[in-house]
Amino acid sequence: MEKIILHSDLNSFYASVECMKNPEIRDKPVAVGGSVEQRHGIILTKNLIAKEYGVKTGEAIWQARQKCPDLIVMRPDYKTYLYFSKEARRIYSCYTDLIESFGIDECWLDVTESSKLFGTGKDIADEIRHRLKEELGITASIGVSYNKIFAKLGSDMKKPDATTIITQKDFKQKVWPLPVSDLLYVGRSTAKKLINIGIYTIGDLANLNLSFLKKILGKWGETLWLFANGLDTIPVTKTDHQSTIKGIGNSMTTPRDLVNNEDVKLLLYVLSESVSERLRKHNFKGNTIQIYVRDNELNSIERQAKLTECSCVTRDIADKAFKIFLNNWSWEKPIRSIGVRATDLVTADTYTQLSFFYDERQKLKEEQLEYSIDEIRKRFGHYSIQRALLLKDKALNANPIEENVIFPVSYFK
Amino acid sequence: MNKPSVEVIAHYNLEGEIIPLRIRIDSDKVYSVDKPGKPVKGASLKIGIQGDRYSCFVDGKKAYLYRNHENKWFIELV
Repeated sequence: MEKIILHSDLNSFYASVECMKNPEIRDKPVAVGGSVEQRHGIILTKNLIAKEYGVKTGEAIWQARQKCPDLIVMRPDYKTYLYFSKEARRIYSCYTDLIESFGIDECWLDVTESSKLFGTGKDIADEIRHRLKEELGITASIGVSYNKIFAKLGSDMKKPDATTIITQKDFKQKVWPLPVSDLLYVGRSTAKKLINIGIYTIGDLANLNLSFLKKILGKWGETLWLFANGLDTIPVTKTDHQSTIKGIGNSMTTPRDLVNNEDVKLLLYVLSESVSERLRKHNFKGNTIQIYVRDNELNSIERQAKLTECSCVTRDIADKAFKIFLNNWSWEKPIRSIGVRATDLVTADTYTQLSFFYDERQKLKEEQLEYSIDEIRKRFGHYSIQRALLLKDKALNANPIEENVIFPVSYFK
Repeated sequence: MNKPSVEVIAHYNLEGEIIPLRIRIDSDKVYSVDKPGKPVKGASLKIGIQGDRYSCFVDGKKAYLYRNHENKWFIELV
C-alpha cells in the first residue's frame, strides 16, 4: 500500500514565534540573530517582510542592515522556541505516533494508518495547519507525498501556510523541473559537480545512467538517484529532537580570532572539558576524536583520529585534538571558530583491553578526579574550579554547555 | 508593549483542573470571573499570548483568560 507521509515545516520559525509574542513588530521586517559583541552576530531566521529586502539566513547582521536599515533584530530565546516546538509535536501526536523530528522546526509524520480515521493526507495536513494557527499562532508549510524526500520538497514549494501534494502520478511534472540543489543532501559541492556535467534539475539527475552517476559521486550517487526517482523507502522513525547519541561535540565561534597555537590549545581545552563532561553525564566514552576548524574567511576543515584507548578524560581528548590540529593546520589564516567531537561511543562501564605500557591506576585516578570536578561544578557553578591554563584569557574561557544549541541530525540513522 | 497581565485567585480541584475565580487588573480593580469554560489551547495574535485559554465573562463582557507556559495570566476582551 502506498504510504502517506507529511513533512511539516514551521515557517521562519524563530521569527514567527517572536512576531507572535510581539504584536507591535509583526508588520515590520524582523530577524532573529545572535549577539554582535560575542561575534555570533548572524541572521538565524527572518520573517517574510525582511526576506523581501533580500535579508538572508546566515549573513552578518551588519550586512542585513545595509539592505534593510529598519530591520528589527531580536535576540534568540531558545527556551520559548523549544516550548513551541514541543507544542507543535503535541498537535502532530493527535494524528500519529510516527513522528520524526528533523531539527527544531521540521517533522515527518507517517499518517498511512491514521488516514482511515482522519481522512486523506491533504485533510490531515490542512487540519494540522489550522490548529497550529489557532493554538500556537504560527504557520506551517506541509508537503504530502508517498515518501519522505518528496514530502520535504513539497513543504518547500509553497510558503507560508500552505499544503502541497506530490503524488506518484504527478511528481515528474512537479519535482523534476526543480533545481538539483533543492534535493536533500545535494549541498554546494555536490551541486557543483553535477552542474559541471550538465545536470541542472532533479529530472536530469533522475534520468541519468546510474552506473555513470556512481562513478562521479560514489555511493552517494545511488542514494541521490533513488531520491530523485521517488524510490526512497526510508521509514519515518519515532524520534525526538534528542535522539540516540552517536557523538558528542561542542564548537564555538570565538569572541576574537585565534592567532597562534597557544590560543588554540586553550580553546581546545575549553571545548574538551565540556565534551568530556557531557560524555560522563551520559555514561559514555569516546574512541575517535574529530576536530573542526574554520578560518576567518569561513573555509573549514574537519579531521579525525583514533584514541589509543576509549576515554572520557579531558586531557586525553584535548591532547588528541591538539595533536590532530598541529598535524593539519598551517596557519595561513587566523581561526574564527573551532570544534571538538567525540564519536564511536561505548558505554563507560564496558570492558576494555588493558595495556602493559600505560599505568591503569593513574588512569582511574584521573577519571575519578574529573567526576569530582563535575560534582563541585554542579554544586558551586562552572567557574568555581578551573584549569590554570584557562585563566590566561578570560574572553575565550566560556562554558559551552550552557550555550548549547540544537542542530538538525542526519537523515540517515 | 505591556501585555494585559492580571493577578488571579483560582480554584484547584481534585482533578488538578484550575478554575479562575477572581482577577485583579491594574492593581486595584477586582472582578469576578463569570462562567469560565474548560480551557483549550489557544493563541491570541492581538495581545501576543499563547497558552491555555478560558472563555468567560468579566464585568458582564465576554473575555478570554490565558495562562501561558510560565504560569502567567493575561486577559483579552473580545
